[in-house]
Amino acid sequence: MKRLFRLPWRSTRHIDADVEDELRFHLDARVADLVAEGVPPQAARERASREFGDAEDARTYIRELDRRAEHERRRRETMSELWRDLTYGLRKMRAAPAFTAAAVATIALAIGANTAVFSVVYAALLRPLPYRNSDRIVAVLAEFRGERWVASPPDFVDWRAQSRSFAAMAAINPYPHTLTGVGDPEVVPAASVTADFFDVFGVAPALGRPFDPNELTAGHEPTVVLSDALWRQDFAARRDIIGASIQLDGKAARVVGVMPPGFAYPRRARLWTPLAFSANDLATQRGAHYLDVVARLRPAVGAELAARDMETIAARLADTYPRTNKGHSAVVLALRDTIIGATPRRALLVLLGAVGLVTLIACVNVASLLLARGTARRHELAIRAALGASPTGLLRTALTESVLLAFCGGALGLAIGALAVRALAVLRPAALTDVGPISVDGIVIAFTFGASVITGVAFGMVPAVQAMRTATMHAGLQSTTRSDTAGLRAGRVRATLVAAELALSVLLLIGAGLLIKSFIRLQNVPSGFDARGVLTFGISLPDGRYPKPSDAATFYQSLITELDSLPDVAVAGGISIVPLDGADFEISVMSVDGRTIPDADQPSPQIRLATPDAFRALGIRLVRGRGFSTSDRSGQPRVAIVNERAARLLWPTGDALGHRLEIGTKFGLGGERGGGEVVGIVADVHDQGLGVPPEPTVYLSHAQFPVSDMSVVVRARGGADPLRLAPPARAVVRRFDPQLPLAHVESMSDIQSASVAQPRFVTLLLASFAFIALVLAVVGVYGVMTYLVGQRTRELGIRMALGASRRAVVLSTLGRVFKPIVLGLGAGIIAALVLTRAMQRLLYDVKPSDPATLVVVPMVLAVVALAAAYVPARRARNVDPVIALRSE
Amino acid sequence: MGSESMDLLQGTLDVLVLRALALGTMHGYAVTRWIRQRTDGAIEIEDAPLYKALHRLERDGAITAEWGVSENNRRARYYRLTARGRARLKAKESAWRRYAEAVSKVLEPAP
Repeated sequence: MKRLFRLPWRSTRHIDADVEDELRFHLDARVADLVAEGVPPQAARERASREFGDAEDARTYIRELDRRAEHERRRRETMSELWRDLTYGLRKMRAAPAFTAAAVATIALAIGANTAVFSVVYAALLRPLPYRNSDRIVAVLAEFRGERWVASPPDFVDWRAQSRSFAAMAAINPYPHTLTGVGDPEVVPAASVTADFFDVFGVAPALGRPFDPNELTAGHEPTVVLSDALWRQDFAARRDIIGASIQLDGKAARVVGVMPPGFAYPRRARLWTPLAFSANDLATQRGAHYLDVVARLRPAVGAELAARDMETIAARLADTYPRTNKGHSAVVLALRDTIIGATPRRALLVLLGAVGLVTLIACVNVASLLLARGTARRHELAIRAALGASPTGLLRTALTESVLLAFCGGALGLAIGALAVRALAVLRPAALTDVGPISVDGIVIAFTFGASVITGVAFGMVPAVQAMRTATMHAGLQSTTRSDTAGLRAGRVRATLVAAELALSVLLLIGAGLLIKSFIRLQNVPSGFDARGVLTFGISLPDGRYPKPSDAATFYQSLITELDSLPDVAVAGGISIVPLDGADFEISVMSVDGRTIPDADQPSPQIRLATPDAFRALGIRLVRGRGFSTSDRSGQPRVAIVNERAARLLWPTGDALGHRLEIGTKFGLGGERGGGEVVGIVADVHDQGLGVPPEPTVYLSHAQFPVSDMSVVVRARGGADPLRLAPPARAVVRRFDPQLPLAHVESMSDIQSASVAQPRFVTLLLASFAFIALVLAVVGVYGVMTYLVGQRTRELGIRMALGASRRAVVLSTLGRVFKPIVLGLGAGIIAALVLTRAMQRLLYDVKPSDPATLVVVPMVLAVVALAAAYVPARRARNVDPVIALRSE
Repeated sequence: MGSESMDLLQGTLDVLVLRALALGTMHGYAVTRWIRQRTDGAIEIEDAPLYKALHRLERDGAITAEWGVSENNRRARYYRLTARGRARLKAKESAWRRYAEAVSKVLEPAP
């Protein structure tokens, strides 16, 4: 049966009392009947009770039954009310398609941006790393003069032996290997690792076994563990690969294990070899920092305790080995923090904040739209209130409608977000690719869902409360005049919303402005080299086939001569590390002009080994003196070239040319220390990043100090596309040695572009959000202005009838939004002054309080907002006084 | 008592209650009085199971209840048959008649 009015809900207490009443009524009535028949009262009571039977059982049974029935009734009624609200909301949405489309599109934009940013943030900062109890894994680094250093082998061995905080500790030497014998020779990202490496991560090989202790001693037969990806790609997932030999760096290595899918630490590693230290290594390498150290915390040991443990050990080592370890400490970091650096982390948080602002703006916009409709629906709501709908009922109906809108927007937003994530994958800077795939998965969908609900309630609240208040005032029934006080109040609320919207927009636009300015400055940094038209690739000569250092010298000399003679090549050279490669190689200078420098004062410039034409090929300007020549070879006087910073650092008072320096490492031939007479000074190069100041750099002649790993740089003739040089260059290398793979075949322009991928990513995203904010703000201002003009038609008509000029009418209408615009912009600038400080780390050569940005951006926004207001305001001049006065 | 005979008993009580209410709206006490009179003491029925049946039928939507004022000015719970209850009574009635006929056929003396 359908009821017109809902029965009041009965409480448990109520039900129990009713059951009691009913049973008592029965017994009393029976006793009264029996007494009337002449039975004495006492006997009547006994008989009535006997006839009734087990009253207690009946009472319990009935109570339970009625309670359940009541519960069921409540559930049904709630559902049916919700359903009614839903269908009501849907009907309303269908009835106003333009409004619905505008609201849904606005929400979809905001939710889409949220989904995209959150999926990146989730992958980078929140998702657990794919290792067992990954929050227990830490990285241990040395610290010296506030800088983080990787570890040296003897330090690592002492750390491992003396620390009490770790269940396992392992050292990693990331080093690519050349894989031959399967298809084309290939350079494979790989790492040498010590015994406990796989234990630290809690991941065991899926096939075979990890290294055994024998394999981890120096001089043992080489073994290797493969990644799942390499095993599938190069070995067709053959299970009999275990025990077979593969060719690594020209030598046979026996495969002992294959890791499960997804395991790739350090980044993108595709195979692992054992890392062993000889007694000689441990005796001589305390100053050679090249090992990444990872460890698993012992159960119940926190990172704090482990950090103190490591500090104590580092202090002890500093006392024992002052020459190398004086001033060294050690730090313990969560593994994730070493994968995602502080700057990308900050960038993501700034983006998350920005996308939150976009959502707020969208909420304000939709609230403003709903408010306009709420005013139109006042009459209807008042009728519903008069017919007995409770205020909370009206509130719920209104909120259901807005949440419904938010869901539609959210669903569309999820689709937009999924597309955006794909687009982001193209832009994704290297620092974010190490965190695994970024995708719209269950967690992200849950986030989107939650964000939609919150958004819906947020933008629905203001209009819903407004509607409730108006409806309960019964004002709506009395008057339909559009110029009454409720209308004025709605106008004020909307003006406040416009101010809020502009404040949020100006904040976002200032943030984007700062980033754009910073990015332009970064792009225009004179890098010190000329990336255009330069091809580069890496070559690594395997020790097996090129055992003597002179082999490397000869090989590169003849290879570069051969490349030089290619028709499209202007000039070719070789250098140990190309600029912006992300690698650094610092060695301390031991003596200058024969004077030995005390250990603590030794500067550590970057060291590069270069062939004669490397500077010309890279476009590095020679400032004074000469470059390397073919005569700077073994047996000839050793020479060095320094950059301007190194010249100033080492010879602050005079000319560097003609002076001598020695560095702390012996290279190649004859075991001489690196160094020599300075014969030339070259321009500074932003080698470690465009935003990083150039470092002092010393270049040595490769022919005098040959190394086996070099990057070849080839400049195309006439600025042609350098990648077209790749096939002929590959052919030349193959002619020299068919077993030799080319690694990282790239143009220098691409390397330079990749080096700013992260700032570009952040700038582009924030600029997009700022643009969305701008559009939403314009729509918001336009909407409010349209509303105000509509509201004031009558008033304007009177004014014009009384002789006001059209111009005055337009200006006075504009005046109504002038105040919210100014207030909004002011509030936004103040907020920006506070909040953009969080962006400090992301800005290059631009202060967060950059005056130009803080002035220009709000001015532009003010002009845009006024223009958006002017279009509807102009309509005021077309008001016909006669019609306006008659219309109501 | 097995569950089948329990069902039979419950079904019997239900049909008796529904039949009583087919006469019109009445409170629980009136229902029990009516049933007691009609069975003429042939079956000994206690009141407790009848009240249980009333609330069960109410939950099932066969009858509805409302508080009202009794002849002697007391608050009493009045029950009324719904359309669904009427339909159920009809179905149960014919089922009972068929059952009773079947049983009496069995019990008839052999011809």
